[in-house]
Amino acid sequence: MVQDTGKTSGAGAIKPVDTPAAVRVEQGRGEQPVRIHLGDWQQVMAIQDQWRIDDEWWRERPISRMYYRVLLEDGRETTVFQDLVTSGWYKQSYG
Amino acid sequence: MHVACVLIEHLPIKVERLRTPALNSKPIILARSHDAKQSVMDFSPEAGDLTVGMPLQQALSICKDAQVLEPDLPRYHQAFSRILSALEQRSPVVEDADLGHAYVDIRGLELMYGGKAAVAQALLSAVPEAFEVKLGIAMAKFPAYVAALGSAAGRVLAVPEDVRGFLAGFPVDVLPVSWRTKAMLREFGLDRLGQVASMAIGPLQAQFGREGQLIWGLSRGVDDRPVMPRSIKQVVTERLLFPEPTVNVDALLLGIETLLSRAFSTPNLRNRYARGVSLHVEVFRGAPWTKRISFREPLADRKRILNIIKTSVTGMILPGPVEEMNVTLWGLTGQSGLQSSLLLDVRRRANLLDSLRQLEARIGRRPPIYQIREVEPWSRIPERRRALVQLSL
Repeated sequence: MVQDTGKTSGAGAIKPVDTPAAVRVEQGRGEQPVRIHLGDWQQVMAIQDQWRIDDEWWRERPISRMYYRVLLEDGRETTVFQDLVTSGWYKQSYG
Repeated sequence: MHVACVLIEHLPIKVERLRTPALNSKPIILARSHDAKQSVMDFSPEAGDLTVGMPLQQALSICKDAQVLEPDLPRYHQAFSRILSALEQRSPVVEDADLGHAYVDIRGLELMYGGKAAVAQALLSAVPEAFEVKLGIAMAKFPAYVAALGSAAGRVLAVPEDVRGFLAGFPVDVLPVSWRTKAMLREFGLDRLGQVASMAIGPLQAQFGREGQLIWGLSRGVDDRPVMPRSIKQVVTERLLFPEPTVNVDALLLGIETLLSRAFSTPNLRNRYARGVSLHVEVFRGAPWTKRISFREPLADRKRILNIIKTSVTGMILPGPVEEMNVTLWGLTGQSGLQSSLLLDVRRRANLLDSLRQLEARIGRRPPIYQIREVEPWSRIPERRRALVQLSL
């Protein structure tokens, strides 16, 4: 039997990258984003792409997200997703 | 018997009395400042019922005649380091537990010295009489420590076979746990180690977690912690005593130049580089002053080191007349030349690792530098693809 090292277990030396950041989104008809708050409210001019991922269904908190690649009124492109389990909106870089 | 505990109570006070014999008959309080508040760091037994951490005003209300001094930590650590070096002449495994508190692994020494009594005498003789050392000997660290507490100055106390019985009468204050845990134990009516030892381990673990398991074991004399030998960092130190206290920075720089010349002429620094230098200055009737300078790269050039020191101290106002000065070169490396790789990536990595070592030497701990590594690059979930991993040296 391996003796207890007495050290606290943890993954402090490994940190995740590209974690989702919560963001405020106004939805229009069809649940799609029409305005996104990124410092200030930005109108969504076009939805360039849309895709869904469903994964880790075997876990207590499965992953089910609808991603949108959007063009904002100031010319920026960004990727947001709606967590289909919690209905929360998040911003995350993809790809 | 495996472990000896060497205990010097109130070591800072004793060092101050050795430095200034006129303080021998006076109660002394060493007060340190933190966040504009002064509190007691150490005190002489004549100062009365004081505790470490007590506000200075409160301490002075208990002992109005006390001489209040500023602590000179480098000096105390230097004095204790000399004692540890002397102990290391008796046993190769000496642990520096705290200022004035050391453990010595004495396994096998009985054969060398000719008996337990001779081993104890050898350890006692390693410490100057003025420090009134107490020695405790047991099979493990904690019982040895408690035995040292119960011993008399200049004497040794060996823990009998009934370790649990020996520990039973000691207060829970001797346990190496937080003050909060000790206060809670007393609130539960557990004032003595014997009371703690008589409890089952379950309730202690439920209340105190990992500390509960430690408390339970130690109160029964069970201590598996090994004696960890101290890591000795090789340094070169040169000392200069000024004929008269001086406030002249030019005189100080001349002294530094002399000390550096002396240091580089010693065999210890031949073909070796230093990663930094420390200046320690004793001020006449004032607190000592220390400056630590890390170099961007290891240096063996006396002139370059002197220029770096000059840049650092020029324009500085001395805290008072300087009586004595030490220069210490530390972070000694064996490199005498650098061979670069032809491959650019290898050179970049070597430069990066060298910079990290310099940073670690400067801040005294592993630098929080991370690199992005791919974990599951194929994953559809973005946060699973990559991770920040601490860069290893």
